[in-house]
Amino acid sequence: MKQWKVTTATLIVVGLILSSLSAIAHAANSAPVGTFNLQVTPSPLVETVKPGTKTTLQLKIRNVGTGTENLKIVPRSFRYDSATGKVQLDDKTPPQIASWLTFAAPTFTIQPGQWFTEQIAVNIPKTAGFSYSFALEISRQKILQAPTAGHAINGSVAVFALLNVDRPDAKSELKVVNFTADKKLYEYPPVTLAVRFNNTGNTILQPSGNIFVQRGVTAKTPMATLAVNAKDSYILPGTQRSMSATWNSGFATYQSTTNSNGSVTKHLVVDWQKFAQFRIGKYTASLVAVYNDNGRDVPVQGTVTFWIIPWRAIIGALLVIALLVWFVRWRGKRRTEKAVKRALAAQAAAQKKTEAEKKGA
Amino acid sequence: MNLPKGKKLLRIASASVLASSSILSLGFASLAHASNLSNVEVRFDNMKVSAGTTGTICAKPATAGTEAFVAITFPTGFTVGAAGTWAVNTTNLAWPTGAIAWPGITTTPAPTVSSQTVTFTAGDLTVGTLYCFNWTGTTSVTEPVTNGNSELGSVTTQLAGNTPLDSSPYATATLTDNTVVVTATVPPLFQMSMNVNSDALGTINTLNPVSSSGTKPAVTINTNAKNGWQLWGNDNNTGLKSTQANYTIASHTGTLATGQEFYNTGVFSKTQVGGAGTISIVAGWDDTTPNFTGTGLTTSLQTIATSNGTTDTGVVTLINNAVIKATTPAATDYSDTQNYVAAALF
Repeated sequence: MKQWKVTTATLIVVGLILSSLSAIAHAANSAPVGTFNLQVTPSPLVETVKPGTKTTLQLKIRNVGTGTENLKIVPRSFRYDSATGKVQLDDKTPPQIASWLTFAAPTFTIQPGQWFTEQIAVNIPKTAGFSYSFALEISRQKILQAPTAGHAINGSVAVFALLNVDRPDAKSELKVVNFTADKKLYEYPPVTLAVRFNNTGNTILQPSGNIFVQRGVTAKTPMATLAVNAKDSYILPGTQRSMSATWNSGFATYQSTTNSNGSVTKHLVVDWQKFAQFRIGKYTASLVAVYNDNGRDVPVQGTVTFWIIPWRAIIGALLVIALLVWFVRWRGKRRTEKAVKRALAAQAAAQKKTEAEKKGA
Repeated sequence: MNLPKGKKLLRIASASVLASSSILSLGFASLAHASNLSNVEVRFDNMKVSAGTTGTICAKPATAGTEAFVAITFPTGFTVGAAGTWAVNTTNLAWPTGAIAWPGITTTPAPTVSSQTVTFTAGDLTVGTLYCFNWTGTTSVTEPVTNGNSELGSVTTQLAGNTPLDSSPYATATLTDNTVVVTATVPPLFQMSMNVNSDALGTINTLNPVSSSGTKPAVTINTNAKNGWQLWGNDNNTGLKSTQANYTIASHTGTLATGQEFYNTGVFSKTQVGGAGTISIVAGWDDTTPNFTGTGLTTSLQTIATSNGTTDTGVVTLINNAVIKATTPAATDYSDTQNYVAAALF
């Protein structure tokens, strides 16, 4: 009797365990019911790691959706296209660094509204260098398969990870490929200045600095100071990237407005408070950008000149002046003619009078 | 000297041109100067306004003589620390190629500081050799409180008795900022959501192309990423595949028309509530008309849309289109699995 009871209890316990495991497995493999909605931070994930040591990165993921999400995280490779400025993400190929990455939880579950912190251990060998960039793709463990007819829609979030390896022999080098204004001649600002950098080193760089808009190369007080790389963009080794800044201040400037249909129109805005800032003539934009090389600023520079000629205003003013000159001359001429006429009439009258007096005498 | 007015103006103009050209010949930081110090470089390690900075000084002497001092004049606006704040070394910190340590450079005895000029005791130099040394005290020199360009200073080698030997000016700049400050309270966030898990095309016939019949798939992005974001898509079948008929209606980039047998995906609309970024649809994906235009999905990710800045509720709505010929095999299970990936750019 006692043995039967023990056997029964054991079977019940085993049954419960098996049913629990089955439920867990089912939960992990069943199709998600909610729509995909994830928030990640930080994005991008940027870090400097030391070779030969283990560095742990943290990526926080929040389930903003309404259903429980069973997720997975995998490293992927990508390529930055210097020509288009777009990223070509490869969701099939693991990056070179993949074998040095360890995820604390390669698969995980997040309840609605909850955060999950993924710990990513990076074990960079001593000989590795000098920088690594890859993507971390977070998607559902079970990809929705297509229904009987129609489309299954799957979403996933990728986070770019940019790692610099802290090695003394790393080479940080940034060159200015070109520094240009979008036109040589403007009627009014805005003036868009673009600098294209080339990362010729082997580290990931984030330049900063200023563009000084001034009358001449050596002017001490710039009219405007613009930020270089206001978006805090990164430049990967072996790639080029363009960054632009816009100078749009002065007495008369073109301002852009976005219409409800998304189209952009520009219109001339006159600010009388900036009357002294009437832009006309030749201007110089001097670029001074710096990048970090082992804690030191390394400057790179460029210069571009451009002209601002408000030609329509000048033509208008010249026309007004010409009209005024013509009017003054025309009026003078008319006055002269009238005076001559009057003089001739007076002369004729005097002559008549003289002749009449002669006849009378 | 009495000159005709025209000649006087000409001389003034010529003098101005000469003065301008001589000023213009001054480069930034690294300067060439005829018959004087060449390759003069004063590099400030922190060029941010109001920043205390270390730095490097390099120069190549041009005139033979027994140098005993080197005097560095910092531009107006820079704060030059007292003699006791100065320390130097000759560690090669990314010096220009070929540079060697400045012989005898020392702060013992302490340098003399007079207004903007610091004079160090140093050793004899060889003509044509590039020498460098670093100052290592962060309180020795402080950048001006306002940014500026073309800030001029000079480097002068001196003989015993502080007699100047070679000299050359240098130029530098002070920047608004040189580092990126990431605040802890507002981390870089990126959020992506999909509104549906499936999309139905309904019954496809030969009369006209058909499009998504129900709620169209839409990707919604919220992010404070200043560089914007990118959206990619791919599919599993490179077409609409039927297991029953063992047949695939192929993916096709372009506009679908009656008489063809193709399948594609386009962007039906793009909207955003706010943010500095603008959403751009990549060429080939624009079906906002809509007229059954789109790109054929393949198993490789393709870029669908990008944004160049922060985005508040940016929505890219997608539309699936298909058209068949009279010979397309009949089946009730034409289907595809589409995958969309989005990420904040760096």
